[in-house]
Amino acid sequence: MFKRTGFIFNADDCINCKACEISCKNENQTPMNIQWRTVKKVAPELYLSLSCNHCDSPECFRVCPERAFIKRKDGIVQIDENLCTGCQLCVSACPYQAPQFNPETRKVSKCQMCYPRQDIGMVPACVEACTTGALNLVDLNTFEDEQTVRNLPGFSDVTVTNPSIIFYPLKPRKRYFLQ
Amino acid sequence: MNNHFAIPEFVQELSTASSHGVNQIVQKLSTLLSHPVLVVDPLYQVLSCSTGIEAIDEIVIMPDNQQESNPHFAVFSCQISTIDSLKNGLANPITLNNKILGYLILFSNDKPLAAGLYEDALIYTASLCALQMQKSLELKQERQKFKEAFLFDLLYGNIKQKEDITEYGEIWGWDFSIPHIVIVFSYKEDNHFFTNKQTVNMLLQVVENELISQNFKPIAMAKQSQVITMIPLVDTDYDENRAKLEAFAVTVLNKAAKMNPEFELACGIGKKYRNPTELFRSYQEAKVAFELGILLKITTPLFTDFGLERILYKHDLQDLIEYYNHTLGSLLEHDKNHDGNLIETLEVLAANQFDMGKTAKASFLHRNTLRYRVKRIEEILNMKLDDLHVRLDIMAAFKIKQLRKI
Repeated sequence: MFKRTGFIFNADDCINCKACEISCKNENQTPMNIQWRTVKKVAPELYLSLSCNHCDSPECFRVCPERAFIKRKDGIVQIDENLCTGCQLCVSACPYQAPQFNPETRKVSKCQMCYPRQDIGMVPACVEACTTGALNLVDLNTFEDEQTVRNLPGFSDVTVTNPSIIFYPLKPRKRYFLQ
Repeated sequence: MNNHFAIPEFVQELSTASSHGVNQIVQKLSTLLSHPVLVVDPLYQVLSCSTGIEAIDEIVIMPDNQQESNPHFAVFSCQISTIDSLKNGLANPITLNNKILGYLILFSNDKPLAAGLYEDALIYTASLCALQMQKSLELKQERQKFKEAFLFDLLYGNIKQKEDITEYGEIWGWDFSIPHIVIVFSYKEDNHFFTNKQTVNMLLQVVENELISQNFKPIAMAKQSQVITMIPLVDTDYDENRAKLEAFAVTVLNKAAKMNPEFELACGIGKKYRNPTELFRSYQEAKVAFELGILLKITTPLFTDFGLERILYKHDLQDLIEYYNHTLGSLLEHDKNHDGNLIETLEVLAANQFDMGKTAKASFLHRNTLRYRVKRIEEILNMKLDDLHVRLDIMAAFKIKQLRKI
């Protein structure tokens, strides 16, 4: 059986430093208006660092008329920009807004989980840059932890697409005030 | 030459025959001992028989348990029952590295066989069979690795040329020049770590056996909690194909449920594609049908059967909630304030295609009561229920609710 690489995100540890965003931009040299990874604030103390989730049933892949998407055996969903005609069907089909249209090149691009780095045994740039270790990479075929959940508030519906990301939910925090 | 180093002639003959596989070993041993010989797997399913495969369809082998469990007796006696007769035989386990790969059985058509006479020959032949069976098992595992890689590429559209797929398919005897359809069987997992590989492998075996019984070369693979299979559809008759697929899916679901009643199983059926490079679409559609089938409680959901649901399941949630509230909000509000259940009446009415007679029967209401309720609903919603546009809106709103979007 092949491995299924996926992200594991600990919502408790994310402090919205955006190091993952910056490292992604730096590694992939994406244009100014394109951000493959973004950190968004979904609740007062909940930040989500999201990119393409390399779904098991990618909708982008299903709707593409040019068959520009490829799913590698390790689970990474890639787009061949040479085949992309810029129809943007994938952009509207993806529930996670992962594929992004570049009006200058009239092509769609998306996170490719830093596969050149992974192929030589390194972790993706975003994972390496994460200052608190909130973002990590696991093999979802073998990983087991009952504390993890498939969805968090602010994250799109996971039925049908089955994204390759799991979360550690927020734990109730104790507050200590000085009297 | 020293007689102590002499190798008996029958050993030489068996060794020579062994290079051609288990079938040849069985044939040679049968010729040498002048008795029929069988090789069965650990579950006593016949793998090879010296009298020909046709003659062994109905054989049931009943080992003498006491002897089988005794490690001092490598050879144990057993009974072989066919439809019309009961025969006595001697069985020897075929083992390699303490793992039982099957049994070698010598049986007689008339009197019982003497264990002491045949024991050495059976033990030696069993060791030859073990080597051959291990070799074919390793080959099968190697082939399985390539098969899975090919099926993965096929299901994710990574092979772009039709000719490549057809050529690869021929290796395993699959004809991709005819249209295929993808069916996904999967366990309804509450836990997203479905690591019970044994259960999935059992399901894979059920699917493969069912395909073989329908004279198909099984194209199937296990992937996480799923078992994916591709079925060739030669007939052009849609209804006939549909009936066949549904019957196949129901049979597999029933058999698997009997084997593992603690796990709930569901399936999804994609669309038929003539071009094998398009089969990845059928796979994705089968997975969508699987999810929608669970939500809408359909046992054998076909992707082609879904209409509005296909658009609704992936539409923006906020939009859907707004649409639902816009269409049925006033009725929900009324029910909440007056502790009523007009929304349920409307739901049953929509489910029965707005037929008053059927709805009255289904909701155990008198026709006149139903008429009064429909009138109230029309007043509250401020729309006429005999308008087709209104009906479409209401149906869509209830479909959104069914898809658990609300």
